[in-house]
Amino acid sequence: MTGRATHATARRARAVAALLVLLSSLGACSKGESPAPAASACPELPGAPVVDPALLAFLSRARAAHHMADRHEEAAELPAAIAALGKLLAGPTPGGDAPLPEVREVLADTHARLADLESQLGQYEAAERHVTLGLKGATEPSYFQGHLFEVRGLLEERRAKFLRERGRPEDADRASRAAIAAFEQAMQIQARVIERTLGRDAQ
Amino acid sequence: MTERPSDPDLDPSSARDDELAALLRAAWSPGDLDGARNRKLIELALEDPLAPPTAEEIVESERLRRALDGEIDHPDLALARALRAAVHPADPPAGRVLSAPPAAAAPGANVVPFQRDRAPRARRVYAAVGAVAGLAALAASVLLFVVPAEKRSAPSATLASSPDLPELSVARSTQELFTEKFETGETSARVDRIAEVRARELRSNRYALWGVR
Repeated sequence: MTGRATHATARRARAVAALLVLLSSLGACSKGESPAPAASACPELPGAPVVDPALLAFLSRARAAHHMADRHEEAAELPAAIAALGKLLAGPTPGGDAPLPEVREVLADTHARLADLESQLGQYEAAERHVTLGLKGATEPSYFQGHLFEVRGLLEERRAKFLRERGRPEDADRASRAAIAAFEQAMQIQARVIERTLGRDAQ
Repeated sequence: MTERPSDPDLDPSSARDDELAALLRAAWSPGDLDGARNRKLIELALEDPLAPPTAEEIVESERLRRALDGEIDHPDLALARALRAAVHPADPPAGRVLSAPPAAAAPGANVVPFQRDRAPRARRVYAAVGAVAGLAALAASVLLFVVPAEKRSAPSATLASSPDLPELSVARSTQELFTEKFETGETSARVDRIAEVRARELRSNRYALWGVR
């Protein structure tokens, strides 16, 4: 076989292989003729998405980011810890604009941690933004939601202390009242979660 | 006293056995990773693959381009050429094909005449790989189109509700994993727990899809 013929044969084999792979994946996404792969791969299919590798990849990424932040916190490098967690928020999320429940909750917890870190650095406005963003992902009463209100209470406490030290007693009192309100709301949420858990256990 | 064998393969105290033993110990009971190396691995894992190239990457890519154009040398030049040849194999340039047997052949030697049209071995291997890939894709198509759908499992939750298909774990709230309110400073532990539980569920889903229970 000549060199040109071998080259042509290889090209034909490549084209046939590519065509068959294309047909395979089209068939895999059809609704009536074959079973569907993971809903995350064919999002047009109805039903709750299953636990799939994309979700695990996100959780693994989240795990790495939080452990990196732990190391930075241990070294008292809070800005580096904030940067590590910021990468997680800026990265891809399974579900895109409609993130999966696990993704929403992990991101809410990440926002809570960032709020805590920012308030430790005296960045109270940035901390409050993180609490607000976190609450957008934790809309139902849960420990995630309750924790965000707790963190709001913490940041207002720190803000009150900061303002009092700078001779602004009225602003400090306002921040103290906001802290108390946030803690009360956190307690109410936690109580509802406990009652729901006890009610489920009693069944 | 038993004499130490002279053959290194039979000597139980040889360096190769020591190395093998060390590798087996590390595989069975791995030690802690160096802290700095661990941080570097994490940073590499979190590196954004879609980020714009760094200045160093731009310089290196330009060097490789010049090397491929024959202007300079580069340590990865041979690899780059091999990869390019694998994707776009070219005919050998004119003048490289011998038209006569080598003149230095000894009298009576079993000389095989050089075949002008013999294709390079790499190209034959490439064609064979392409053919195998095509057959594999054909087999996959047969499985998807010919085998009845109800005999294969599906990962979709709606299909999982069918009595013939396995029950699969679906994405859902992780609230059920926690029995107490959250403490500040324990976020990593919570994320660890969520990741571990969902990893077990992913494995379980895979086994269910494979029909292994």
